Amino acid sequence: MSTPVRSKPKLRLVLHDPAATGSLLGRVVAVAIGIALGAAFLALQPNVGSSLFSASWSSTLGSALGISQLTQLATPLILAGCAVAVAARVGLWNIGVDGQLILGAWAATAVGFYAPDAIPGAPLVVLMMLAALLGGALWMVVPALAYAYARVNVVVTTLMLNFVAYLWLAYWITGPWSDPSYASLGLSSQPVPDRASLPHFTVGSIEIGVAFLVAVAVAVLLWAVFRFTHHGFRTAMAGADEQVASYGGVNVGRLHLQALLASGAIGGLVGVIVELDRVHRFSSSLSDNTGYLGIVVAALAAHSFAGATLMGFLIAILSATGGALSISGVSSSVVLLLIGILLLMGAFADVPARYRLLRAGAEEPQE
Amino acid sequence: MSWDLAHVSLIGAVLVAVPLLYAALGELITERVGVMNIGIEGVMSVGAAAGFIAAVKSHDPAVGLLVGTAVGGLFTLVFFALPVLVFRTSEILVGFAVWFIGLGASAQFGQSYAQEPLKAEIPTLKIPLLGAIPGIGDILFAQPWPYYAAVLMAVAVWFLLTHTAHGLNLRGVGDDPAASYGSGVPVLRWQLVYVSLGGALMGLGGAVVSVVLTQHWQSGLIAGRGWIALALVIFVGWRPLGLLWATYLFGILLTLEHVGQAEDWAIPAPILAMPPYLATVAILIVRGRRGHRLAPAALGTSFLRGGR
Repeated sequence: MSTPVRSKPKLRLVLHDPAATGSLLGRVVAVAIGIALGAAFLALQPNVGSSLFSASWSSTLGSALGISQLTQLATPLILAGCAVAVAARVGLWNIGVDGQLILGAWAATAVGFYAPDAIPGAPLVVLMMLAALLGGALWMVVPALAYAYARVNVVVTTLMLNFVAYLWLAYWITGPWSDPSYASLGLSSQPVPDRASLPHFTVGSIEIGVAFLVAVAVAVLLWAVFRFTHHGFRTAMAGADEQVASYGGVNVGRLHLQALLASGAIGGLVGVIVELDRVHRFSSSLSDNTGYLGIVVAALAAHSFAGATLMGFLIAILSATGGALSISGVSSSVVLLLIGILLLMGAFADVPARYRLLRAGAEEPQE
Repeated sequence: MSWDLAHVSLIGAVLVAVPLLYAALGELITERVGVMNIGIEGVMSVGAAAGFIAAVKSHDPAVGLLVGTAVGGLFTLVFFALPVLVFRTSEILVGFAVWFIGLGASAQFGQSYAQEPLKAEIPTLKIPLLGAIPGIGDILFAQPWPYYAAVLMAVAVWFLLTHTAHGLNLRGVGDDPAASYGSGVPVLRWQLVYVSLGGALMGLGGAVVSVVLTQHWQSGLIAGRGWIALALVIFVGWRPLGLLWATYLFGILLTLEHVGQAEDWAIPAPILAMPPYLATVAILIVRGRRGHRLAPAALGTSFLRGGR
């Protein structure tokens, strides 16, 4: 460090490109190591031990019920991952998906409550989803404009608005929309009309919700937009190098604004999907740290939408495992620990790609 | 509102501000050496759980605070400073990881203490003469000792950064690490030391919450305080003395909710709890571009010695 004289080994590790992104293989290995570390930690907890794998397997991929539940758990995670990824592609972290999903669900619930009875189920569901997109995007307007015009840190503004959104939710479910009869099951609003719900269907013995298909459709749509349109190309350019993009005639500021608002809109969709799928009320159970898990999903997927779908499932498996283990006295928050380790390993995934092994005396090759 | 209630609230707000002050000071020195640790919330949670467990076991709150400090520093060194500074991983991602790991680990290791009451209490220390000033005496000069220590700490950090050669070098590390390295400052070593010390202060802040403020532990106890601390550092423009009034202002805003309930105000409690968060956003926007000129110039960029 401070000593200028050092003996030179025959081979040395040289930091070659500090910004290099690793290969897919590196990412898979990192995730595998993260899971192994998490499993080792869990297995060491009292009362868990060897029951870990059987509990995990039977509550997730090992049964039809497990798979059905996985699709349900993965649905909001995939959407939240997509929401985060849309902003992350231009280098911005939207950590306010939790707030956007609450405001989206709030707007959708308002539509559900106040829409005339004459509107049948399907159009009502579409209206509620549109309201949610709008609600989520509007919740993002202030952070987006603040970033575009004053470079105010998006991480902090979106996060602060999460706390406001939690309180906003608390106000509506304890105040104007409260349902005293439901208090025993946690605070919730009164239910939205029965026809405002997304149906489930069965494939063999596996139950799949339309909500899940919506989430996958959103991922596919986003992939197509970013893969095939000029907008996607401009985003890729700006994400790679803002200056080059600017010289190339891309309005980077507008791109940032669009990415943030789109991210907020998709974030708004997360809550209403869960509401229409299973909760049917405006409730604190619409978010189970979903917004924060979306960051993990997007980061592990390296902002790819196909990857987000896959990682959504992986996090769902972890959540289900945590749920199954909570019977044996493990804190339900331990899932957060596992996810943290996974994210840490994900951050390490790019490290090997940044180094080159050089012989002593050899100059670093110039690009 | 009655004067008595206002007075009691203003006294309580001081104590609410203390954990924010420690945590924000920790983040401030972290950012002054050019590193942004957004995992404050996780470090505080770990400090709160470890400190509470130690305080219950030793029946001594001071031991709890000490353990919270040490664990916060070690946790930050292992899970944040080493990955970010030595292995050059993303500050943002590792910061998030620290947050998740801290929340999960504190919940897991602290859960058997969740129901346990803390018997020992830190007594109020009334400063002679100053404590007798009518009105402000028992607000500012009759508090438990961790409050005085926090104020002294802020002054000490201010003195270190602005009045010593070492502090000048530290600011240099945050503003231009390449030039600092060229002039013989061991950049990486100091970043490791001060990022870990910053983590220790965050751990202390967490321990103050569980050991002094609430005197019980439950998961989720920190409830966003770490994130408020992050915003406060930007809010005061990276100046330690600014934190003194800023944290107190937030302490008042955080107690507003309870005052409203006690006074039966027409505004519902959830709405009354919003101002701290809205104020943070508003102030960041008002500071805007000017705020960025106050920031350490090399904040968030990774420095590599001689391209190596």
